Amino acid sequence: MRRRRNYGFIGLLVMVIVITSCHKEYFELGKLSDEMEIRPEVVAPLIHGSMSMGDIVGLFDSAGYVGEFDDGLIYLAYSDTLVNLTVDTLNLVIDNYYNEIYFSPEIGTDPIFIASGIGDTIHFLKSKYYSVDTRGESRLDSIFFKGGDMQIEVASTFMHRGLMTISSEYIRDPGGSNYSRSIEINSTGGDFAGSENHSLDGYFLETIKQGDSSVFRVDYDLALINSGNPISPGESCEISTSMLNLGFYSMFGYIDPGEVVSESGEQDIPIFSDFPELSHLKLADPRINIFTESSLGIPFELTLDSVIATAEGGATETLEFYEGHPFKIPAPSLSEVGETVTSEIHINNQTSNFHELLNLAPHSLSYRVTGGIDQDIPDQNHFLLDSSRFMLEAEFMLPLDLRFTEYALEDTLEFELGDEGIDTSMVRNVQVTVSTVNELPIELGLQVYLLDESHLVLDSIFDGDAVFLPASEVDDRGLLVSANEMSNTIDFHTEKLGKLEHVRYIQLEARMVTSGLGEQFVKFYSDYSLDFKISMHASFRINIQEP
Amino acid sequence: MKVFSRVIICLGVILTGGLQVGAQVTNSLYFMHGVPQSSRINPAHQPECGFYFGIPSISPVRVEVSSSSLAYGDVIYPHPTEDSLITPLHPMGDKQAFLDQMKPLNYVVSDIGTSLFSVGFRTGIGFFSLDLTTRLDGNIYFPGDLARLAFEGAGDGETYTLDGLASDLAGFDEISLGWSGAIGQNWQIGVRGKLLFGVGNLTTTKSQLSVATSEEVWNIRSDMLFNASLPFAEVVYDQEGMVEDIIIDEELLNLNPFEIARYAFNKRNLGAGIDLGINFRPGDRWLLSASLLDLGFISWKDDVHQVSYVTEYDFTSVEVNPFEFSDDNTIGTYLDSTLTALIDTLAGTLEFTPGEVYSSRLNSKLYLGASWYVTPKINFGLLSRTDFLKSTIVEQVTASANFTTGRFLNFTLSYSYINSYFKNLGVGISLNAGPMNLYLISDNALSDLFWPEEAKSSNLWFGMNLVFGFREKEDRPLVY
Repeated sequence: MRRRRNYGFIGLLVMVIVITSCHKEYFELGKLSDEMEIRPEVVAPLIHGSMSMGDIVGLFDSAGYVGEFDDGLIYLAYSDTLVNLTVDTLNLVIDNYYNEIYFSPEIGTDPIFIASGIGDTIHFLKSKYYSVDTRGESRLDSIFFKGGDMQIEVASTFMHRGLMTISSEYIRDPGGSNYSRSIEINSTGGDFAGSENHSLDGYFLETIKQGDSSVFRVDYDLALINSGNPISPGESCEISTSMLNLGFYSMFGYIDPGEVVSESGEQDIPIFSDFPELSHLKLADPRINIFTESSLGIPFELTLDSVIATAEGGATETLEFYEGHPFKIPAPSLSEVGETVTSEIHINNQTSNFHELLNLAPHSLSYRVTGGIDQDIPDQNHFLLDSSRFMLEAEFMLPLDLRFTEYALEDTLEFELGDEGIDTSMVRNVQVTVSTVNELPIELGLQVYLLDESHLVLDSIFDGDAVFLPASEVDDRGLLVSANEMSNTIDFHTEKLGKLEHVRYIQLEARMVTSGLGEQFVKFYSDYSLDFKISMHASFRINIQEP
Repeated sequence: MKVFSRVIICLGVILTGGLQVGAQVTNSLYFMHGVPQSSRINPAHQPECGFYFGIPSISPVRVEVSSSSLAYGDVIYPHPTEDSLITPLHPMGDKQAFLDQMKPLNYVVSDIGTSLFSVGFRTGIGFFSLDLTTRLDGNIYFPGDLARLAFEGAGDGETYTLDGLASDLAGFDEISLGWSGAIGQNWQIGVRGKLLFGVGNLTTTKSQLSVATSEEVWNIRSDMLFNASLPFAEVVYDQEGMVEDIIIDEELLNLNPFEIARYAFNKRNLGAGIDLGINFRPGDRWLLSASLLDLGFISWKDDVHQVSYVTEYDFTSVEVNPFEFSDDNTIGTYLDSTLTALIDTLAGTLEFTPGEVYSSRLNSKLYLGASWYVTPKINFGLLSRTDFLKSTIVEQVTASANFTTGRFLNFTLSYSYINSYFKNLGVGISLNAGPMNLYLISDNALSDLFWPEEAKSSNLWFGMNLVFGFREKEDRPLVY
């Protein structure tokens, strides 16, 4: 009995040892591997943002060429002053008047002179109308001189002393008095010559109309003091007057300065030759807005003709105006002397075929512009001030109301990960999802090629040539109907990530077309936006034993 | 890093309120009345001796690691093809099997204790016991989704519910006085009062945390509140309210016995508890019993700190302005700086503040037992144990066959259902040689021998007592 119990105990002990030895391997912790590896996945939203059309065009608008209409339609505009005209540059009328008048020997037969005694003073009077010479059909009614000189020369061979007085009620001095100047003849030798110069600044000349001419009268009073000497044939008194270096403060009358503007030439338009893709760009309503400011008291008329656009292949298009041409440049009236009158001239698709010229993608544009007095204005009362000027500013405006059927961009950029590169050893796969809500009426196809140093294509970012950004839907007026939503997933699997270290260049190829495959015009408003969200779905393999 | 290391030290101090052992009362002890410390599991039990004195520090030593979900073999197992051991984190490890083992909320529970002083004696009015025990109640709760998040990452459309992520650690010393007495022929009742001195504590008061991940949004919701009492350390806050430094008492680090005693019986962290027990013999062959242990709490007042993390945050990606990009401000630098700000935002809701008085309760347990006596020396027992943890209630069932020769030997074989594991085979043996009592008890000893890789919990009680005045039970004779 005792022996049986011992056997049982030994048997139980053996059984326990056998059983536990079966599990020994679980507890040999010296063999426990410290290698750990997990393969987690991580999804996360990364970034989001929004770009409005206003922001986008503003990005490229360092010079302030972008604006928007009240309704938000964006335009590109460039302004320049084409004409800045002052009266100094006008080819006006007056300068260097020269007149002569003679008192001849008939004085010697004058009964009063003959009956006079020695020492008596006898007056000989003469008057003469002078015409104001102007160019063309101009007619000068009055002029307020600014500067200028009056030169009076008197030469007398009479052997009598006397006084030569020149006066005119048509000329008033700065004090408002009628003009009057006298030169004393102080020789009886018959060889008198005298002269006088004085400034005309502040003098006022008024003319009267005589036929087609504007004239003013000058009165000459030769007072001779009988010296007892006879007056022989051939003796005379000659008076010459010259008005030199004339300017004016103001001028009234009918003033025709001839051609105010006369320009012609041919302008190269390099943008279309530099970017041939722009030939696919069609603008619905390119505009030229002309703004004038005039304080010239002369209404003008501008004529723009021979405006011809020439495309690379030789095709031409001539600018035609449907209305409003020649352009009338209004002037201040006599009641608005000193004021400035403005006007606007609009060249657009309502007034001309200007859009057809631009849509020809012209390489050059020839033109001729002339400007002169507006003959259609019946009121011929003009004026000029010395401060009068005329300015013409042209604003070239391109509303973003356009279409393009195919616009391709291609660029190659250097790419290198740098000395440290990127550690892709733990990354099994990365999917970057780009979700967009596009209100812009542009469809964008995008492809990015990864090139090695020999420009051989290693891989591409996108599969195929799928549309990356579909255009928004627009109505027949080119206005937004609904945004287009799209989600693109870019798959960076291990193999592609491994290629990155060999990439030296990336080649970007973008293709753009407006909504409706570019068949209709679309408008770009500043509040149109492109919203984007970028998220990530990454798979990792993290092994603590791998370097 | 310095702060982190000091936090570890603090946890260490809490965990080493006494000896660094993890244990909980073995169910098999319930039916081993020959063990003097059996009254610990049911205060109504009376030892069979007239007097016992426990050997300091080993009366008993209790060791257990108990996991609700994971067995040893779920964590460490042989390489399928090579002669080595691997974990689920190994490339050849079966991560899915590991995750399949996880429940929505998992826990590791410990009830640590060792008696520095244990004495009991019988009087005319019953049996009295006096114990000085250093204990650690330590519960760590971790949601299964935490492992899923670590292993599988943040998947698309996934919600990771991390509610219940918590740690409740309490180190305290317990002075208990127990009494057990008979009421009539069929009833025994027992009660043990406890005076508790808190050494240190970390309590999770609120724990709601969820992370939902998708390509559109990361949603983070949290309402978490932690309380801590760290009398042995000075927590220094910076101007932003973050913990700048934790300064451990130098005297404690130098193991100054007076300082250790001061912290061990800290009157500012005072608590109280009670254990109740009852035995009832409805007949000659039946013994019904019940006990309710650790009804109590500790009020933590000394050097209290509070950490809260309340946030409701939706991360829908970083808003960028593409027009601000430049050579110096690339999308990378933009993301980097913005994500840093994002992390600061999330961290900004983490608040460290000097806290207010709070209390933590003990892990209460309810035992319901029934014994059927085949003979006075052989009985079979059935025990239900219910642990009332903070976030969950845990049920265990133990069936045992118990044999005694009288004074010399008590022997128990047990089978338990613990932590959803059906193969817990335990054994307990108590030997008395002269005045020396020696016992060794485990609910899982045999199963740990046979199927160690399947072990989810393992416990072992070992104790030595000096016992005197053994007497035969004055049981009524059984009728055969």
